[in-house]
Amino acid sequence: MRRMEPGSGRNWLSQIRRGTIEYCVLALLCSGERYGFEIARQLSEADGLVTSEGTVYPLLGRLRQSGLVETTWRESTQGPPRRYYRLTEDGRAALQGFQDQWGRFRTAVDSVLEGSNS
Amino acid sequence: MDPTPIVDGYLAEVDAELTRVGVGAAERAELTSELRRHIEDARAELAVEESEAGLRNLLERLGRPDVLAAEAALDTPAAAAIADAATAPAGRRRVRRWQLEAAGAVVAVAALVAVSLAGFSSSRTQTEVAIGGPLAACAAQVVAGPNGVVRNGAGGAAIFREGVRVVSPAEAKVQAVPVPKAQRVTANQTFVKGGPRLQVVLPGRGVARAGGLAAVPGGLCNGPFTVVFPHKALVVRPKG
Repeated sequence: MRRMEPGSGRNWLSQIRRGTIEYCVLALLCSGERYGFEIARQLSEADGLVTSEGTVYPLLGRLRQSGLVETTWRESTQGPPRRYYRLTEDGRAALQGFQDQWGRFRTAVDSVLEGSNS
Repeated sequence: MDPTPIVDGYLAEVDAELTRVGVGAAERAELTSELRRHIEDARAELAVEESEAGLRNLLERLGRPDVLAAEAALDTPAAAAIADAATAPAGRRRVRRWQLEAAGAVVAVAALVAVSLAGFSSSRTQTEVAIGGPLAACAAQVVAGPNGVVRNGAGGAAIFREGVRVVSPAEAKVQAVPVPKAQRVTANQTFVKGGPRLQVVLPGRGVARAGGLAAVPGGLCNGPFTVVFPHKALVVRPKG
């Protein structure tokens, strides 16, 4: 029988990160549009959320291709134009769905973990 | 300190890694452009005269080129496995990477189904679809389904004039598409007579922006678009 290795912690962390990071980006855009640097910097400041700032850009590309965010180019006072990202209606609905599920999932995991400590 | 060689060198490494994992030219151009913009913003934020160490620290924070490339290619299970290997601890990576690249190659070969364009036979031994030669007057369409990935700058159903590689799903159809009308446009000339199903065919590396935004090499535009490069691109209106 195959034994689960408790030490392989990076694997579950990367899977959770991969499954949730897109919704974290959508949540950041909930309050209004932002450009790439702002999104990358804010996510990297949340401990453990992204492995590096640059990984946010392929993610933003995927969100755009799937229609969850849309972009606009804006002139900048510093350097070339910036691409701004904002939530679409589909993105807002996807975020709402995730928030509903995530709350229940987190509560379920917490209750099991807390039970194991008692 | 002149930051240009360090930044250009970093972005060239990213581009090479993106190419290695099969990311198309348009996506590579878009991603490296976004990373360059990020670097400029991060340098401006430093607000002091930057040192080489500071710049390298900034690039380190941005991410290793192979990790960024793996993230960009995350559409496939094989690429996800490579991404796991790239983010694994360095001591394990050497072993796992070899294993996963071998596994990735098996997955990729299993996923690639090519149809010979010369006779449209159902040969399934090729791993790349080379388009051209006897069908030079036609474009070829790769139908990979709505969630399929075709590594030549676009996913789903797309039309190409050059070699393409189907990454997923397990089966894809390749069919000839007649090119009824073709018109050449020059770089940075906005083509406004588009309308629905207007198609831009770009040879090799190329970028066309529809509505000033999206890069759509080999894709369909619904409105005015501008060919950014190369100097000339073919614009066709597919039948049907």
